[in-house]
Formats: sequence, C-alpha cells, structure tokens
Amino acid sequence: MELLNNLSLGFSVALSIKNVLYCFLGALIGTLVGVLPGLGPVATIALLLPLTYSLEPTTALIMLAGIYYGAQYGGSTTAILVNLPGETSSVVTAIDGYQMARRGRAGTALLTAALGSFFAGTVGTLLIAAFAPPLAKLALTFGPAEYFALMVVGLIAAVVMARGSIIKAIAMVILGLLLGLVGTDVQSGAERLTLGIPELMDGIDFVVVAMGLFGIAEIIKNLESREEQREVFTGGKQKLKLWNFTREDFRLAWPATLRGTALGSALGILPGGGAVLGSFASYMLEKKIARDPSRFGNGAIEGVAGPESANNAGAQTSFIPMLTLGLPANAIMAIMVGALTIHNIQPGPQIMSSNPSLFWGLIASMWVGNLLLVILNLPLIGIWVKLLSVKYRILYPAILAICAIGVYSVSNSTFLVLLMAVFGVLGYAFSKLGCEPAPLLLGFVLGPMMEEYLRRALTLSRGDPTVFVTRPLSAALLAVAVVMLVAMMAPMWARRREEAFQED
Amino acid sequence: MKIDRINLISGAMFAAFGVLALVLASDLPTGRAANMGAGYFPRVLSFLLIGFGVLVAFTTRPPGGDEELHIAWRPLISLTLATVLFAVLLPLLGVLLTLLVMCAVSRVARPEYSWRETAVLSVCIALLCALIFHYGLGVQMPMWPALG
Repeated sequence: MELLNNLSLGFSVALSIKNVLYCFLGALIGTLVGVLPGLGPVATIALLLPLTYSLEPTTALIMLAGIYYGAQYGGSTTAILVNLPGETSSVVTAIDGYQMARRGRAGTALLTAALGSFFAGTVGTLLIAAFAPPLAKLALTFGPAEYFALMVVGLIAAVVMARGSIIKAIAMVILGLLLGLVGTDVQSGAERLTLGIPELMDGIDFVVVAMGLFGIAEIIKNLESREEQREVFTGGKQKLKLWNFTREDFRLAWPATLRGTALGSALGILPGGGAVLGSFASYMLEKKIARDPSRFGNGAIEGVAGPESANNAGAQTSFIPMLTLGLPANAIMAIMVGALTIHNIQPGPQIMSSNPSLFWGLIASMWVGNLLLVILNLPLIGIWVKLLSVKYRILYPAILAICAIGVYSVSNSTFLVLLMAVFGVLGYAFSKLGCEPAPLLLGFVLGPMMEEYLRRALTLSRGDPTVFVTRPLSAALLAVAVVMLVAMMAPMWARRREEAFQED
Repeated sequence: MKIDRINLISGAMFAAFGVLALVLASDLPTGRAANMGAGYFPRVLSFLLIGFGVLVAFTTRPPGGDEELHIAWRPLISLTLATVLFAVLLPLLGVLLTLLVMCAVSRVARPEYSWRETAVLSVCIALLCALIFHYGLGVQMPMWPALG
C-alpha cells in the first residue's frame, strides 16, 4: 500500500536521532512559549528561523513545526491552571478547564487535554498522509490563473478569519502585498519602492516584519496594562493528581474527543483555518448537544476534551494547503513557507515528488512530536507552573534582547534591527487602530508570488482579464472567495440596518 | 453620519501608504496587462489601498470597542529607543555593553523603576545572551568595544 510505504519513509526520516532531538527541542521551546505570556508562536518561529539556516531543511522544518504544536500544548496548560490562555486557540479551554482546576480537578483536565490532543494529532497525521497526495495531484494541473485565484481565496480567507472590521483586514492585506513588492523586480531588475535604501534592494526580510509586528508590538501592548495577579490552581496545597480519572470522566470525554477531532480536522484544512476556529466550533457543538448545557462554564470535561482535540487536529491539518498547494493558511504557515524558500525549496505540489523525505518526514515527525509532548510534558507540568510565576517585568527585557540579536543575525546587519523598530511602532499603531496584523503578514508573503502568477496568466491570455473566470477551476475558486466575503458582509449589513432603524 | 475617529485615522493611514507607494512607483514603467512593467502591480495595489483607506475612514464601528485612543507612550518610546540604541551602539560598544544599555532603557517602560533589579537583570541578560548567541550559536557580532 502506498500510504504505508510513504509513512514508513516518513518515520525512517523522523526517527533519526538528530530529527527526534530537534523535534523534541522544538516541542519544548514551543511549550515554553505557550506557557509564557507575551511571546507568541509566530514571533518565536520567526526568531528561530535564522538559527535554522545551517540545519538541513527537513530538520529545520521539523523543529519549527514542533514549536507550533508545542505552543498549542503549553497554551492549554496555562489556560487550565491560571485561566490565562497562552494562545488564542485555547481561549475556550480556559472556560471549563479553569473551573475544573478550581474544583481540584486540574490533573484530570490536563490529562484530558493531553490525551485528547494526542488522539487528534494521530488522526490529523493520518489525514494529511491520506489527503495530501490527491490534492497535490490536482494542484499539478493548475495554471497561473488557478494559482492566482487560489491566492485570492487564501487572502480572502485570512480576511474573513481576522477579528474586527473586514474592510480594514482587506486594506491590511493590500498593504502587505505592497510591502512584499519592496525590492528588486525579478523580471525587469528595476528597484521598486526602496526609498533608495540599498539594504532594501533584496526586499524586506520576512523575519523583520514578523518580529516587529508580532514581537516588539506585542511587548509594548503587554506593558500597557499593569501586571495582573495570577492565581495558580493545582488543586490546593496537595500535589497535582494526574491519574484522578474516573470511568464517568472517560464516558463523557471520549465522544467529545471524537467530535472535536472531526470538527477540528475539517476546519483546519480550509484556507484561513488553523487551530483557532476548530476549538471555538467544538465548544459550541458540545454545549449544544449536551444533555445538561448548564454544566458548561462550571467545569464540564467535554468543554476541555472537545476544543483541545479540535485545536490540535486543526493545527495538524492546516499543514495540508501549505504542503500541497504552497498556500499558507495562517501566519504560522506563512512563516513555514518563508522557511522553505530560505532553504531553496519552492513550496507547492512538487515538494512531494521532488522532496519526498522532507514531506513525509515532516508529517511523521508531527506524530512523534505529539507523542513526545504527552510523555515528557505531563511530568514537567510542575516546572511550567513555576515558570508562570516569573514576572513579566523580568521577562520582557530578555525577550527584547533576543528579538534584537535574532534579527541582527539574519544578515549581520544593524539596519534590520532599525527596520524592526519601525515595524514595532507600526504594529502598535495597528493594534490601537483595530487592524489585525495577520492578514498583512500573509499578503506580505504572497505578494511576489501573486504578481508573478498574475503576470503569467495575463501574458498567456494576451492581456484578457476574463481568463480568470473562463477557466472553470479558477472561476470556481474565485466564486468561493466571493461567497466567503458576502457571507461575512451579510451580517454586517444586517446590523447596520438595525442600527439605522434604531435611530429613527 | 457620525465619523468615527479611530476609523478616520486608520483610513488616512492606509490612504497615505497608498499615496506613498504611488509616488515611489511613479517612475516605474507600467506596461500593458499582457506585458506588465515593474510598475503595474504596485500601481494597482496603491489605488486599491487608497480606495479601501477612504472606505475605512467613513465606516462606523460597532459599539463596545475602544472609544478613545489611549497610547501608552512610556513603553512605546522606551522600547523603540532601546531597539534603536541596540542598532546604533552594537558596532561601537560590542554586544555586552550594548545589551546593558538596551535592558536599562527598556526597563523605563514600567513606572516602578528599581535600579538594583535593573542592574542585576541587565548583567544577567547581557552575559547570557552573549554566551548563548555568540559562543553557543555562533552569531557573528562584536563582543567588545571597537578600539580607536
């Protein structure tokens, strides 16, 4: 069977000592990042990107992926123990997980989250292995028009997923696309939008944008509010009881895990998806079908099992569009694309055939990483809890220093550090103005590719723009984008109308 | 119609970026759709950005968000200054001293400034970062002040 052959190739790569080591390292750093406030996975991965230049591409990607799901895991730990979701995807976990902890059942909640995540991770890995090859085969038939349409779908999806105003998100995407064009035009060699600065001739480095918007701006935002008092619930003074898992718990948790996994996997594949959407959807589903919905918000175990499985499944399956189509579904996948490009690997359907050991090795390593997280982190929970007591005023100068050195190390240039400062200020301004930075980052990554495909498509059609709607696949993709936009705009109009009526 | 201040500023910002890009791209050849020049896509995007900027400026926001702009000048300025100082001082002072300065400046972001804590923290961070990045990861950066 081909699937088994592919997976065994993957495991032979993923289980090499070096790759297991880096996978572990990535998962560990990710958990750390997820636990500590003020440094998200996007900034961390961007930060570590330059340090992976010297690694083999497979190893580098394995480590970066480890950070992603490790952060997911760490985020839920803090959500449960201190009601402080480390990542957006664990916001809903905090609702019931924290209540469980307050009732002295922190151990049960953590174990549920860990086992649910592991189960979902396993299913997610299998799904990627099963669905990626046919999707990649389909993608190989794509021409430039289809690719352009696909990118439009990806960008619109990013817009739809962004919090707040859709129009602002679209403007952010366009701004990102423009920033992505800074540098030398590949076709004509003309310098574009560089302000005459020689350092910008090769374009703005991806790491600089990500670190500025997601690193520095984040710190400034965190410092705005006073340090909050955190209460750690590990079940009173006694030790954390992990194996306090009753038959009743199991009876309630496993169907929720199954549902969460299914929901998370499905929503993760969608462009613009990822871990966040699945966990919210799963929580709502569990609450809706529960026999006694009033238990939710008061420590219902399904409210932990469902969303936790969903976010891990989604984190896993969101790799599918990136690996098969070269289309990043969220900011983290955008960084992965950046990582691949740095190692001279063009993301897209050809990876699977031209670089099978990278492709399958990465997939297998996700399963290995999930296993490592369960085995190693449950005993390490005590350490993570201790880390939570580190004060932010101690933490942030260190984060700032690491950001500066990390960006400097990209090309040993202090100019990049200055540029990062500019993006930090910009990022803070964006957050004050209610503009999400994630769509900008996606636009930034896709900008050059999008121009390239637009050029090729229009050259092939001799300048006829109808090529995008006359080719069936491209038309279908664009239709998807339009439907998504309209679906999002519709409630907005409805609300606007309501407001108008109220003023009468 | 009531104009929302935050949206007005956001819209103006987007439009300003659009105009800036348009000006910067003004000497690039546009070409035709079938044979695009370097200026084609940037121009299309600039016009789109200006258009959406105007649209943003005149939309209202659902109630409940931040009504007023509160800018935390203290962290904003001290962190930006610390970052800029890092870039300026690194080639002159080397990484150890630069990190000391950077940490001390960044600590101003919080109102309760403690000299003792800052001193201890700065030394720790400078030493650790220098060790990890310079010796551990082999990042090329000057360690000591440049002489002469």
